[in-house]
Amino acid sequence: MSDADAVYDARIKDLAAKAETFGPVEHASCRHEADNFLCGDRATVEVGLEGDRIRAVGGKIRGCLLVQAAAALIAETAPGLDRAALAEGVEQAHRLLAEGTPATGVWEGLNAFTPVHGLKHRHECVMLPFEAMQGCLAETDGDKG
Amino acid sequence: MATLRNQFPALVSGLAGAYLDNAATTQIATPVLSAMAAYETGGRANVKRGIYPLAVAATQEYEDARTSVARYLGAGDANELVFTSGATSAINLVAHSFGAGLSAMDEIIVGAGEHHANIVPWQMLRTRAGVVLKVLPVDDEGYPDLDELKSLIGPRTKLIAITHASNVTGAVTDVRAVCAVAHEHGVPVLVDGAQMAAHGPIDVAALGCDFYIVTGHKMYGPTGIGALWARSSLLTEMPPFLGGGEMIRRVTFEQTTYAPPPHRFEAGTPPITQAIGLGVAADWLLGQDWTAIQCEERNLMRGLMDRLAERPRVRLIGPGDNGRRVPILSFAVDGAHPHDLCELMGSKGVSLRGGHHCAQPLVERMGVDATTRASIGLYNTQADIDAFAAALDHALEVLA
Repeated sequence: MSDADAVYDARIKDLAAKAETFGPVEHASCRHEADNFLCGDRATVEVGLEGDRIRAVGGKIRGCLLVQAAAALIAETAPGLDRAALAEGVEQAHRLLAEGTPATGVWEGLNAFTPVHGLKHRHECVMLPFEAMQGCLAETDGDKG
Repeated sequence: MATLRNQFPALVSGLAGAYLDNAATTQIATPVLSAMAAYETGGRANVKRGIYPLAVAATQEYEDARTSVARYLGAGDANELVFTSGATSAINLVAHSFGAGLSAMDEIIVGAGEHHANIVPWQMLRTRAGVVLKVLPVDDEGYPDLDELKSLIGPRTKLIAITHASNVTGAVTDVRAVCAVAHEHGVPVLVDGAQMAAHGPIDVAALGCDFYIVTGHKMYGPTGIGALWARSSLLTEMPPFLGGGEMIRRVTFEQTTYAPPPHRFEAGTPPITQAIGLGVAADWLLGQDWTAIQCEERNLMRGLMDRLAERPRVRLIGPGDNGRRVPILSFAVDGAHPHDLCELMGSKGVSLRGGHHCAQPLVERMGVDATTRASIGLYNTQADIDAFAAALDHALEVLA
């Protein structure tokens, strides 16, 4: 099995399949688009906040299977977390991709992306929904929902 | 094709695999590499100014390259050929220099099927000068709507900028027809020939265009070099784009006068090695049997189309096989994103391009977010098409 084949294992495909339900968030607190300038993929993320905690994450994904899988993982993991826990998720995603360091805690699901560690040219695909989510939350800084 | 393939080291070594990304860049031919190595290792010198033997020889080689590229483009006067760093810089040169003569509310017509390199420089000119951009639509196959062109041209139209062959659909523009309409209204036409020049010699005189642009790395030549051909009457009236050495007639602190074209547009030390390489590539291309090559390229493209048509959920983007086209083939597979296909097929040694191909408006017009693109060059063979089909099946199986 090649490195490329390993990326498309059942865990990532199962996650990506869930992206079909990645839709608009009712009464979203913010909305942000992130573009991968290299390939044109776009993640549009909406976040619904309740106080300082995430109520729901959704939006629209126009991208490859990795973008879809990452968006689905966020939508699955983020509800109930606060901003610090989300930032921790972004940090863990970076470390997993850059160093291969396994994710832990509530973000353990990120380990589905372990095969992407060796494919540097695809790291941005995984990070695109995270960047959109960060951009979205940045727009609500000071607004606790 | 075997004889041709033997002239490409990356193909002989097998390192390039089934290389079907020729619309992005072609492999480089041995005669081109040899000529560049000979200049670099045989005692190189700067061009245009030196009068010692090495410099005189370098200048002669550089100017010979200009003549060769002009000949490949069907231009009678090599002084109408300006070396640039590529097609993008050539279009930017025109946008700045020709654009300097335009005023607010003057109009430029840009094709809807353009590469970003033939869109963004005109948008930047719009910002600088207040010109108006009008978009010439394309039909469902990607061909420019020439009937619409007639209605878009008005008294303020100053330029039509259009591709000769689409880097997404492969559709070839009827440049003669565009020029005929444009010239009825005294409007010059700029043609982006980046995708066309790899598929046979160009005849700018027959096309009737006013600017023609090519790039070396899509013509089996080096990167970092391209060329702008323009009518002498236009070049003579255009101010320089970049200032510096090599492009002046006389410099004082009060005033500078400029060299005549083409040197006016080649400020500083040019990419000499690359220009020599492009000249050799042009000569090498001119010496090929284009009737046979074009026939083979079309056969291979039809083979690709047939293989794609046999598979479910595949949609071809662009003209049919009998259309006026070059062998650049875009397709979309329902449920399989182009980047995932390219990743998986690439791991099987098949080089393709996926995405918007730097032509986002066109891709959107064709009703997709992105496409997978296979582009055929003169050295491709049936084995490459077979490898493509096998890799596609593998990718679809993995993604299922």
